Amino acid sequence: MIIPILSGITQFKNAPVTWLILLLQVVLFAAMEIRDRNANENMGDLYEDSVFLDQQGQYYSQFILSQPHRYPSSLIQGLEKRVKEGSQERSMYLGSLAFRDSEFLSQIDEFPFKGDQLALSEWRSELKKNLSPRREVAAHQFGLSLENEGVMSWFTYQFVHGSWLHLLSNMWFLLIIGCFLEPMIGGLAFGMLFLICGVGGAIGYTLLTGLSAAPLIGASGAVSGVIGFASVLYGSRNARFWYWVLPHVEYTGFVYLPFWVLCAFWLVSDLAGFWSSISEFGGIAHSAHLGGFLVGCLAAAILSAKRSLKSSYRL
Amino acid sequence: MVIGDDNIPENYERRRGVFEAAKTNVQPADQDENRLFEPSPWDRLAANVLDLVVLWPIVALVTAPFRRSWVEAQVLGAFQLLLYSFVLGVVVSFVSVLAYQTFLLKFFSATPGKLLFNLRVVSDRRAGGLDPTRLSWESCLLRAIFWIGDFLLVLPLFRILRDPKKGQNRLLHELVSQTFVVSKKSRHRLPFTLAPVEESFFRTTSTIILIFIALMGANGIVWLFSAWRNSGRSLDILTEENVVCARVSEYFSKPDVVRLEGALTLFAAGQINKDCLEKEVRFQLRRGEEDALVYLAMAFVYSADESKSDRYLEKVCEKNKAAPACRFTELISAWSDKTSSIKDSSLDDKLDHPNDLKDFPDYAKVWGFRHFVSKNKADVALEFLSGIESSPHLAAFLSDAWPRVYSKLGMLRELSSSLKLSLSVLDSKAKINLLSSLCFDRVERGCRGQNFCQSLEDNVFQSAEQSVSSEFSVGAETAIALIRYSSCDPGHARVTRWQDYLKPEARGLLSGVLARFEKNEELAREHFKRVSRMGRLGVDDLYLREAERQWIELAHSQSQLDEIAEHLLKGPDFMKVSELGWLLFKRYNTLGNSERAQQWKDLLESKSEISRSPASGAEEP
Repeated sequence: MIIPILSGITQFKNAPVTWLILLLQVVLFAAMEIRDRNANENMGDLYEDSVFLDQQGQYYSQFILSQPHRYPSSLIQGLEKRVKEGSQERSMYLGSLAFRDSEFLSQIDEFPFKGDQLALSEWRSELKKNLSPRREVAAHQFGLSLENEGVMSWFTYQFVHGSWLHLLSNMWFLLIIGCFLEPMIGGLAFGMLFLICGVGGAIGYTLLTGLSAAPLIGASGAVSGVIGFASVLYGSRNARFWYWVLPHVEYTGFVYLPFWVLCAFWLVSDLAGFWSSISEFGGIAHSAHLGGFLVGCLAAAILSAKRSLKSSYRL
Repeated sequence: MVIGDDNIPENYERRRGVFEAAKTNVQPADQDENRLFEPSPWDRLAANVLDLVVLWPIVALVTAPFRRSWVEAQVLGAFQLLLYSFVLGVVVSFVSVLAYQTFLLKFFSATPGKLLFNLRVVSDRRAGGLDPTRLSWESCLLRAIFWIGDFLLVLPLFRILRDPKKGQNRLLHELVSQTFVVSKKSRHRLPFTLAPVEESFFRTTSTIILIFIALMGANGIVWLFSAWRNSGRSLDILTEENVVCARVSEYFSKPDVVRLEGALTLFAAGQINKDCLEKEVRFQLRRGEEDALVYLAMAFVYSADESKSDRYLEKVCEKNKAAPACRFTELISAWSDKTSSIKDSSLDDKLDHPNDLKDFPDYAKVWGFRHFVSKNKADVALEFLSGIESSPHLAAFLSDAWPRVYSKLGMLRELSSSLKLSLSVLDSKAKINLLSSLCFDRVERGCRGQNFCQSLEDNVFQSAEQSVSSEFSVGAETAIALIRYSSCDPGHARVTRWQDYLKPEARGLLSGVLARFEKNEELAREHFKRVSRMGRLGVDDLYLREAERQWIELAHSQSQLDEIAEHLLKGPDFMKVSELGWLLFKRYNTLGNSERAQQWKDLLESKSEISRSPASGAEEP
């Protein structure tokens, strides 16, 4: 295990904007968790209801078959074929994926689905009963999705998290990088950088993965951008890492490594994640990380060029 | 816990120095610079762990496309894609680890993990000692290849268990590449000594590796073979995955509607349960089948929810009025007294003596047979049974049904001939159930001294002795019949013979009945009390009700009845004892305690609507 731990991260005065962003994220998450608890639980039950997912998979496969040009993905086509052969597991997979397809969800009343008509009407009412509160939960209200793709959502999605673990991991890196970077570039610049990189994440996600009914949420795109920014401007500076190799004092301690090492690991992990993940399944939005990272690097490059231009002008 | 600057371990500066040295490829300043020491096995293990940390993202990156297609293949269940992704992913991982090890060893004589722990890899090829110069490409490559093998066998982990006084036991990758790992600093202050290459160690390690490879290979071949075998047989896979019912798959190998009809027939015959039928009908729905039969099957699946089941039954005829499933629906609606849904008034004529049974599917005939057996209309049941054509999936049902219906109709000659055939078809458990049931059916009819079932009994015991003893235990109904009719058995020769095949609760009940015949009422009461108190142990209700009934009949005093009343009220479900409640009420009246009888009656009436219409055996006075 190797974790970056920089000096002074526990001091508010060193990086007030970083801390404010962190506090805001925690407060918003807690408030939304309390507000959306019931709706989230209901949706969670629905996502785990195998009979419901099986049925939804059957109807979704009919929907896919009716317009194959909209679903060029070999995975979706393959799943549709396997459902037709009678596979329950694949039907449930497809049923889960249907929640991400806004087109399908918007046509559940009009589309002439075949099959058990009684079950169909029950499925329709069950789905509708859960879709309305779903639109009201924070992730769908403020996240970036096909149903909510306005400019505001490019900013608001950065302040919504799916779970405590999601929040914790993003905030940990925000704290580490923010406390390293903010004293150097200033609080206002850091806050602006955070938001701009978040927008970069949204653009990266839209271009590389594409929007769906499942919303993009989390500050990881912004955090990636901040890491990219730091790696371009201060890559050669040493950063302190805590390592734990074996359970013995000899193999635990601190090591100073140049900052680019962290950035390289981050970038390589994201690239690996992006190329290995199946976008239809959702999960970690590596494309948002990459988009944020690229925007962060670009911002640093522009700043660096501006600085060198200024210094040469003075000469 | 975040460790502050004050808590930095004392070796930190040295480690930092090592890292800086590694970065600039300059040896750290150390007074032991020119001396080589034996490395600590823990250092080596830690170096391996660090190398893994470095390797992990590299391997993750180069294998990303294969991991993606692996997941895709798993989701789709595509065997070939799964195989290609796996093989290519392994090959690419192998090559990247090989390149990592080989190039770093060649140019730095160490990997990043080793650099951090001040370890170096040196060659022992030079005569007279170690060669501190750069390793050859050949050595680096060989070491890298065999390191992967050793690593997969987690052999480096075992180094930490060795005796430090015995020198360095080298693993296969070190032996083959003729290299050593040395430390540039001393941990144990032991001068490094060259350990001889031990032939026995080399042989042992090679044997372990070969056995491991052989086992892995054999396992891989078995896996590949089974995956290949299943790749073209989706129905088999679905059976294995428990998506379709295995019992139905035994008889129907094609995923068509005939399969669902067969499943319905098996369900009607009691050969499969509701879960099994549900799997079959959902399977057909997934395949896009939507006809009257599917709705009919769904009605059975939801039989516990009457309104839902009725809605499905309505859909059956909505879909296709001429379909056999629709006609069957009308029949079962009529049988269930739901005349509102019957459109064809002439159907009433068909109910008891159907003329056009040949047009009905098998499931309808089986259902009709069971319906009329339960209504004690064995003659109509026989007509339905005659209409069923023998087929493999109905062999067990027909073998069981024919003797039972002949027995009910008293057609002893036909019973005898059909029984012979049935006994050759049924498994031991079904055989014993059939025989014991027939036997007591005969006893019931031939009570008062006649002995119709001697030969049947002989058959039962013969079958029981042939079967595994734990499998055989007569059903509750048969046991109760035996106990109730033990009065027809002078000297109790028959019941004594059956005793060994009864469950403990049935045996207790029987002992009570026998004690009662022998006029030992105190002992009989004790037996009945004990059985009725077994209720909390998950005993069949039939035994409990019988024991409680007998117990009430034996009560001759107010206190005894009060004790029983108290016991009944403590029971887990008052509704179940309403019949016994009325019996108790009757006993209170018989004893002349009208006040208590009235109390008990009020209680029964207030507790349940059912108690207003008492079941047979306990009439309301």
